Amino acid sequence: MTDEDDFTAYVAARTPALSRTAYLLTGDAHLAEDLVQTALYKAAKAWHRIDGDPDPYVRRILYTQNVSWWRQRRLAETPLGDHDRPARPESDVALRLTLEDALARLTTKQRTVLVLRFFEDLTEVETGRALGIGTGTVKSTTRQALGRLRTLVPELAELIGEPS
Amino acid sequence: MTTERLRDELSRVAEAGPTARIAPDTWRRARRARTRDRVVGVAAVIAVVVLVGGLAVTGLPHRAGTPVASGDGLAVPDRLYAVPDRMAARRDDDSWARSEVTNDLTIGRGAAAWVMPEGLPVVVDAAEGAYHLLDLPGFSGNDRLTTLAQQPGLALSPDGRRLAYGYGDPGPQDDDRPVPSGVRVIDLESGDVRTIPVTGGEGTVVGRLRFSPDGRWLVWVGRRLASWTEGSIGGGTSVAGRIAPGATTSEAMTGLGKGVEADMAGDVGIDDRGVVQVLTNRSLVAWDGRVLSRRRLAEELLGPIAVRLDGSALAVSGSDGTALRRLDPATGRITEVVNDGPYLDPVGWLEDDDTTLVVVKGGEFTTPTALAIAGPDGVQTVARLEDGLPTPSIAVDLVSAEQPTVRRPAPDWPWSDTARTAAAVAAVVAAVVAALAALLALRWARRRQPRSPR
Repeated sequence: MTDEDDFTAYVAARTPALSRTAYLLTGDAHLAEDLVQTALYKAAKAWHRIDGDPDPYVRRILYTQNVSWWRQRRLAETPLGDHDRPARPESDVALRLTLEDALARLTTKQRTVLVLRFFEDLTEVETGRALGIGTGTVKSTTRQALGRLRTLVPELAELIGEPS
Repeated sequence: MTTERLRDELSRVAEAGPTARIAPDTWRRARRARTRDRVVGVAAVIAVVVLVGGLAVTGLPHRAGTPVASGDGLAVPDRLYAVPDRMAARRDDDSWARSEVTNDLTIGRGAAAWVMPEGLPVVVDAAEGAYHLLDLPGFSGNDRLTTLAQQPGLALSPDGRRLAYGYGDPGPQDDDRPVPSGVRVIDLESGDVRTIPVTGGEGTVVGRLRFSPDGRWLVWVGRRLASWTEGSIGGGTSVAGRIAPGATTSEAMTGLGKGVEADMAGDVGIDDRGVVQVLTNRSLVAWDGRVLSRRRLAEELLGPIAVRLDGSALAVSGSDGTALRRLDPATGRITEVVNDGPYLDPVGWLEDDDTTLVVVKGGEFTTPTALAIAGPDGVQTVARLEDGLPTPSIAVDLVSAEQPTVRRPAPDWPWSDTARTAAAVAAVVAAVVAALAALLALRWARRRQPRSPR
C-alpha cells in the first residue's frame, strides 16, 4: 500500500469525524470545510513523517489552524444565517438551536476549549498542550465558558449543571 | 456537573454539520508543494553559493557589532527571544536535523530554559546570554508522538546549575516491554547526568517538574501510560513523585486521596525540607511520605505554585488567573498581593524579599509577554518575552530587586531559506541592473565623444 493509498483511505474513513469537530470549532459549514481541507492538505505534505496513527497529528493541525485563522483574521463570531445551516431532524430542535447559538456567542478561546474538553474528550493538560496555553488557563476558561453559557441561556443550566 | 449530557448535545450539534468535500487532488497538490519546497531550497543553496562567492570577491561590509551586556556576571537577560521553528527541523527518523543542536551539555549555569512547541529544549546561559539548543539524552520531546500525549517536562533549578527533564523515547524494542522512562537531572557545569527511573505501566511521561527553592529536592507530575510503543501512545493515569537530594530513585506520592490523585492538573510545589504541597480544586494537601494536612480553601486557586525560600508561604494565582495570592500552607489563609491586571504565573520568590518573579501573560490565548517582579507595591516588568516564546523556566536566584536582569546580545540565527532566496534574488537583480547601467553609461559616453572631422 502506497502513502497515497494510506492517505486516501484515511480521508475516506475520518473526514466525517473531522468535519464534526471542525463544525463545532468554527460554527460555520463553509469555514469547517476549509478547515478540514487545510488540515488534510498540511497532513499530506508531512505524511512521510507521520508514524503510526495519523489521527492525533491531523486533529492537532485542525485545532491549531483554527486558532491561527482566528488570530490572523479576527473572524467575526456572529453565526451565519439559517440558510447556511443544514436541515435537522425535528426532535430537540429548540434545544440544539439554543445551544448552537450560545456556542456562537462564546469567544473563540472559550468555544475551542469547550469543544476540546467535552467533545474531543481531551484532558486539561492535553487541551493546554494542543492550544499552547497553560493548564490553569484551560481550567479557568472552561469555567468561564460554562458560566457564560448559563448566563446567556438560563434554560441550559440543567444541561450543563450548576457552578461547582 | 452533567458533562455526559453536554457531550451528547455537542455531538448532536456536530452531527448537523455537513461532511467536508475534500478535493480529490489534495494529495497531488500537497506532494507538488513539497517538491516545490525542495526545489526552492536547493535553488536557494545554489543562489547563496553564488552570492557568497560574489561577495567574497567584492568584499563584505562588516555588520554592526552586537550590543554589549551592560551587566557583569551571571544574570537573566532582559529580553528572551523565540527560537525560529526552522532550528527544530527533524530528519525522517525524528532526530534533530540542524547542526546547531548539540549534545554537549556542559554549558555553564543557565538563566532560562524552555521547550519549543516542536519539542526542542532551549537553554539560555547566564554568563553570556547565549542560546543553546540541546539534544538531551532520551528527552521525551525527542519523540514527536509522545509530545502529542503530554507536554514534555523541563525545569531549571533556581540557581541555574541543574536542568531536570522527563526522559522516555520509545524505540522498536519497546513494542514488547515498558518504555524505560523517568527523570534525568543534568549538572550544566560538569555535564554529568543523573538518571531517576520511574517504573509502572508501560512507562511514565513526566510532564511537570518543580525544584525546591534550594534546588535540592524535586517533585514531578506525569502520566503512567497504559500503552506506549514507537507507534502508539494512550490511556493511563496521573501519577506524581518526589526525588530526594542526589537520589537515583523516585518516591511515589500515594495516599493523597482518590480525588486529588485523579486530578493533578492543579500544581505541586516542594520546600527545602521535602514537604510537597498539592493544589487542586479548592484544597491544599501537604505530603511528606504521608498526608500531613488537608485544607479546604476559601477560594479556588490555580498553579503554578512558587514556594517561598523559608517555606512559609506559597505564591499562586486566583481562579481567573488575573490576581496573585499569597497562601499560608500552615493555615490555608489567603492574602491578596495583586488583584487586577493581566494573568500572572508565579515563577519563584526573590531572596530575602516578599516579592515574587512572575510570568505576565496577555492576549486572547494568554501567551507569555514579560517577566515581572510582583509584590505589595505592584508589578514591575523586568524582561520582555518575544511573541511565540513558551512559558520559560527561570533561574530565580539570579534575579534581585537591585539588578533584576541585564542586557544581552540578541541571538544570531542562520538565515532562513526564504531570506537566503530573497538575498540571492536581490543580488542577481542588483548585478543585472548594475551591468545594464554600466552598458548604458558606456554607450552614452561614446556618443558624447567628439567625432573627428572627416
